[in-house]
Amino acid sequence: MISKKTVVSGTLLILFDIFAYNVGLYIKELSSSPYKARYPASLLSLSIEHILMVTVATLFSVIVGVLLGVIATRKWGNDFLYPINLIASVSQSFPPVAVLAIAVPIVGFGSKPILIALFAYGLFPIIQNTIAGIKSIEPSIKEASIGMGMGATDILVKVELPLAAGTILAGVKTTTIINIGVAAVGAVVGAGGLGAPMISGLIDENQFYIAYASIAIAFLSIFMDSLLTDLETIVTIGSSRKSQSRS
Amino acid sequence: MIKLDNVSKSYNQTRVIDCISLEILKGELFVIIGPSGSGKTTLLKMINKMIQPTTGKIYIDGVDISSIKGELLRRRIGYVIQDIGLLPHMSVKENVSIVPKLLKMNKKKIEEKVVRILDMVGLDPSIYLNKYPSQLSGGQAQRVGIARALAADAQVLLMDEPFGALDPITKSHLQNQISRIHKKLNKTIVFVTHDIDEAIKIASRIAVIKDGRLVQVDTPKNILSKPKNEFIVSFLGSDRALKKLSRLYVKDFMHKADRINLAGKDLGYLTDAVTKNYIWITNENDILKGWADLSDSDQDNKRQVSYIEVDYKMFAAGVDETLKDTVSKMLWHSSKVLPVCKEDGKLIGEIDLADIITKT
Ligand SMILES: Nc1ncnc2c1ncn2[C@@H]1O[C@H](COP(=O)(O)OP(=O)(O)O)[C@@H](O)[C@H]1O
Ligand SMILES: [Mg+2]
Repeated sequence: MISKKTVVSGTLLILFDIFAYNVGLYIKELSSSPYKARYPASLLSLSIEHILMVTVATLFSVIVGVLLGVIATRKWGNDFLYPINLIASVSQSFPPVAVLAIAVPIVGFGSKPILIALFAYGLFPIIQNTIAGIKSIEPSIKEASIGMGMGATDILVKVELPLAAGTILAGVKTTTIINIGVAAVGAVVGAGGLGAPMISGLIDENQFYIAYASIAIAFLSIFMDSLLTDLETIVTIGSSRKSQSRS
Repeated sequence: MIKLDNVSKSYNQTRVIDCISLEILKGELFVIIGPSGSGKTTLLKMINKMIQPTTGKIYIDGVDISSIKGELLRRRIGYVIQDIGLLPHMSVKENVSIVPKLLKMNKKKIEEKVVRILDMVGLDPSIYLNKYPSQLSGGQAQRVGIARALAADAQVLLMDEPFGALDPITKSHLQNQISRIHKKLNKTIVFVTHDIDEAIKIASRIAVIKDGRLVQVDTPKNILSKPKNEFIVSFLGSDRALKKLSRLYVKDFMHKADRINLAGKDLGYLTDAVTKNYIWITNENDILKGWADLSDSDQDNKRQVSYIEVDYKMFAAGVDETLKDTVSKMLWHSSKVLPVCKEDGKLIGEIDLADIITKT
């Protein structure tokens, strides 16, 4: 179920990382700028670091976001709908840089502050989509489930979440793509990832580093987008079987 | 079996069910009928505790259901709704297995049961078992809905306008199927509808409700012949005489029919042999071939015979046919008498409009 686009963009990402790194080393030799010692890591390992950072933050957003979305859609949780929506929209309207500024004094430098910023920033689409996905389930389906004697947990796990999975995953995709871009900011607080060569490039006025980090981020976005689209297709087919041919 | 004792339900001071007391007997196909908004769904949902009555008690097999946990009660009561509500991410097989799984029946037993029940509702398991709801027509989906409700061997089945969204032909098939299943499995079925024809066709007893109150509870025959008030009369419509015929069957009104096998004889033979002004013509196997009209005579008052060939499939009444269908056939063929044939065309009697008019 992995699409051609995923394979191609993934391969391009790896090839580019290897190629650009070697060119980078060569240029580094040529140039006398002081970053030589500052940036030893390979572009490939930076890309992996970047993905890891985004994935961990998104994972937390998913866990908390789905949980809050589920609470907001419970009969007893109706009172929470408004505050939860509020948390979600506030957390997204806060610029990640501002979150970093608040987080650094508390948790220190490194990857922690950017993880917090990414987590908060990515919460909104996931909460929104969880609520939308569960609310868009036809009332008759829930009605029948209750009528058959399914308990609340059964209905959530066997009916609501599987049927909302496609919509939730669309939210995860949005969050991931946004976070790939935003994570680059993390380099200012020493989080590593593809933002690091960008910062070095800016400090040392080395356009090459800025360019190759940007291109690597672009490839990464395309690759992740395509990968998550594949996953979405699999989940949606599983939850509706609309595209299954008549057998 | 099911007893409602002074049950009422209010939503913010508005009574939608008003002091209903009612006893539904074991094995009945009990139809609740009333106009839209009269409280049918509310009444039905109180029986499986999807809605709690404001006052009053409901007993199933003598047990007050307020003492039973809702989920456990519902697993023991089949439930079918108009919008069906099949789970779109599960195959037909998985959908039908839901309640047996909740009841923790063993896997092999569930599989056998699913196959047997799909057969019973008229779906070939080898074709439908692994299909998904989006691949089914409305009628097929509702058959699965019924199978799902039957899968746990519930003694009670609640059906809320189950055929309301189906086309007339599918609807009629499913009504017959439900009647058959009801007879075969001897379940107690509470069936909600707003379609009076449907009610008369399938009900053992009918409860008419209006604005949350019971208006009349009686057999279809009595509701038709002794409607309690103007409301029921208007609800029955101006064709209630015809509706009554839809609960009466040919087999109870037919009588013996004279027939002649014409093999080797010419028509002239009939003028001497037959005294009536018509006679059925059959072949050597007693299969209906047509009829001879002897009602005309020529100038000399000599009887004339004309032979009219008919196709028994179109012309004859069936033994299990309702009188409503038979009268319709009589009108269609402009005939006061119709032959009654078995499915293979064997002539077994005739039915006379005069009998229908005088004896019903
Ligand atoms: N949850 C509810 N809150 C308030 N009124 C309701 C609710 N459910 C049903 N009603 C009202 O109760 C009446 C009966 O509804 P219902 O039982 O669904 O009727 P029917 O099934 O006969 O069409 C209607 O007037 C409806 O508006
Ligand atoms: Mg209703």
